[in-house]
Amino acid sequence: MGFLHPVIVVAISIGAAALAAVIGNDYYLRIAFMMCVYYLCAAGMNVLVGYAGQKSLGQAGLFAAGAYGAALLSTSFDLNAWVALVAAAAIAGLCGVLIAWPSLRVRGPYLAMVTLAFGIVVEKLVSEWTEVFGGAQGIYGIKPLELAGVPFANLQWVWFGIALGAITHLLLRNLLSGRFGRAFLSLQADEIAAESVGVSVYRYKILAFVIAAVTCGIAGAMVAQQNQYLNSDFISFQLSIFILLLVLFGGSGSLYGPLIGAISLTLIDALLARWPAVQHFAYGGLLLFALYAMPNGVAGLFSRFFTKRSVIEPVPATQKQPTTAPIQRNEDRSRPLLDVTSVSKNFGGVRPANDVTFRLQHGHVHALIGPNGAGKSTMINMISGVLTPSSGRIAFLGSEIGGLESHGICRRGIGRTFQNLRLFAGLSVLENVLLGQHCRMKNGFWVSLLALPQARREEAAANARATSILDTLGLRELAQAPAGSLPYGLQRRVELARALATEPQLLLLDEPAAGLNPQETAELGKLIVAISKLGVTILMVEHHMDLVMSISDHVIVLDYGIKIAEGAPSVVQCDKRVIEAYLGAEAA
Amino acid sequence: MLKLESVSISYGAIQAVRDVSIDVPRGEVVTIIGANGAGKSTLLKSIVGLEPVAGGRISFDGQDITKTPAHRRTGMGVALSPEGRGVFSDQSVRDNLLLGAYSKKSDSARTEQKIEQFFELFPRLKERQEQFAGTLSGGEQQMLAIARALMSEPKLLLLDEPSLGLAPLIIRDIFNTIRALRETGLTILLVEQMANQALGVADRAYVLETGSVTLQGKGSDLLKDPKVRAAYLGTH
Repeated sequence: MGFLHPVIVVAISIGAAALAAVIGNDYYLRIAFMMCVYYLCAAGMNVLVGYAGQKSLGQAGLFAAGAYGAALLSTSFDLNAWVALVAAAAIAGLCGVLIAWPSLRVRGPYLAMVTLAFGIVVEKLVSEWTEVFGGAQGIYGIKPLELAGVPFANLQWVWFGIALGAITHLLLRNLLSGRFGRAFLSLQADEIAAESVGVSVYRYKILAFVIAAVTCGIAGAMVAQQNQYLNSDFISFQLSIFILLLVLFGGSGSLYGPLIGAISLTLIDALLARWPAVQHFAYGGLLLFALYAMPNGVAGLFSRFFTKRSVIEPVPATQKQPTTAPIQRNEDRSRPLLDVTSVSKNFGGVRPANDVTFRLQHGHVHALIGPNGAGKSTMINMISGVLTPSSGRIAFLGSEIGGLESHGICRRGIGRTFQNLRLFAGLSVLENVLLGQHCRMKNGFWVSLLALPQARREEAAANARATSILDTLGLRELAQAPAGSLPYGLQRRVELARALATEPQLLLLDEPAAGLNPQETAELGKLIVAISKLGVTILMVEHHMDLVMSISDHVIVLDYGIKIAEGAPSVVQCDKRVIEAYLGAEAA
Repeated sequence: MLKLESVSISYGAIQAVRDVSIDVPRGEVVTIIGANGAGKSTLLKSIVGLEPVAGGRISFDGQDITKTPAHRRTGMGVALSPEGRGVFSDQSVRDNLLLGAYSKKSDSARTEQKIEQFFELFPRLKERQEQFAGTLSGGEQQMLAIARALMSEPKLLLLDEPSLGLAPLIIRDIFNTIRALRETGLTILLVEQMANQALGVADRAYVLETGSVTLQGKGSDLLKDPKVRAAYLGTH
């Protein structure tokens, strides 16, 4: 990570602080202060919108939670201003959890509606419940921050804002450049895939909302304390929109976007304030134009000039056999690895699994075959936690996993690929594989936020692991390419690499050879055998019978959700029911 | 019917296709085989207009269509059954098929007749006609994608990996379907990983390697070619 970046940030901050001291004009200081306030709002909002992909239109509610928190604590409870500021951040954080709740159930425009409703409820609350919040009359006598008994003057407020902004930037940069940043991005790309690599969608969504809420709450508290007055006019729907626009205009998903957004929009706002009649009109027109011309914001416009487009030569599909074990695990081999007992699944009238029972042995290659629609993928989805069985038991290493969430199942040691590919298309191949390492990395939130040595060590170790897996699968040269830009067959291989990176004991492969030619299929077969030799048990759904028959130790056949046969490949191949339902006469 | 002259395509950061010329005569089945990443799907996308061409010329029925937008090409009689299916998951199987006939504006009796015809071909689709396409199994979605492409009564059908994710019995049906469709006079351009079956059904075949055509000839000849056998058929 290096120390260069923090040094530059500190230097720029000192420069900005010095500039503020030289200017000294109260009007300009006020603008500078608002830039800092909006930067704080935008920086947290960027985590929520730009990284986790959750559009919220209720940030004014969180701003209010911070502002009124600080106001009431220092007026009604006579709390010290510093304590009130910290408490306000905590109150806003709690409100963040509150509005994160619906995000677990609803998506896209529905989520925007729910957060919008939250914002409106808070707005009405503070304007109508005058006994507590003072309504349009407002709350007077809010204590400002002070040092050694001397309240902050305008210049100190700007300095404080710059310092807080710099710290926020550095902390968020630590957090977002590693494990947590990738996890947030994975939510935006594909929640089911995120779960499958061990990212708890639930926890990370709440975390993103809380981060946005805390920075917004601090911003609100600062505004209340600096003005020493607060009324309900501060909290409006326009503020929610403005905070979202800060991020979209500046460039969502970019670390510098919020800064660019905060500086430019605050300036534009101040300039337009001279002509109140055209203010809203000009403002709207400008934003419309900006969002149309710069879909990735100002930051996106800049990055286009700085990143050169390199032409990657198509790579022939070759792969080495794994020489080093990507996975090393001590396991108790006395118990069966996976026990599926009388499992059924109902989808309305359809029954893709009907009283299915089978058992997987350590280190073996198992194949699950059957006609299209027989319920093979449904079985894989139940084992990996994407679907919950309607009845029956699924036990992994002796403990029940049926109905557990995917990320927990991944953590226990079951990795998977998807039939129709669920890569994080916008992320690089390397980032996809690093996300596979997510559940094996031990650096928690605070360690990552503060960039403690453990975070660096874990990141380096995960990088080494991921790189060796990419090497093994012949994907090294493509490490930086966006996963979605690769041809179908290579995307399949990246998915396999990502699943291997979760260090599974049981690997579920849903049609790994789909889209491969016979030569590539044969190579894949060798690779699967090599992986199983490393101690990884395999269950694959596959239609390429030559592959299934040549590498499987055990074959399970489903038809209309019922297990119609199982056994060694040679036995299953000659089974009359299997031939009739699936293989066809000439294959026998 | 379809002619590609020196077509080059840059796909994202990858130069996927270089100087490729392909000729698809009326009423024939032409197949393109090649490893993953050779540029086959990209080529098909450029023919239907979903991928812009960096250089070269594409003509269909004697008309230059290099710059014609995708939806107009469908109207002219080019239909693609895309790789990875791309069915409309939140609509029923029947509605998916009806959308396939969107560009034809033909009378509903004719449309119904066609739907019945495809239900005969894929009985699984008939059983599930009221289900959302997203709830179908992978193989069923593949069947639906092919049927939907045929609903526009194309003159040229492009099939991108029709066997993908299908059970052996169904694959046999699909290739029989391709033969039957050729009998009706339909021109077909087939991209397929099951090189054996593809070459077996094709009148003419092209081998694409890292974006360039390296071999071409009659399907039955390539099937015997030792280089093709070693590289694509898995038999040494």
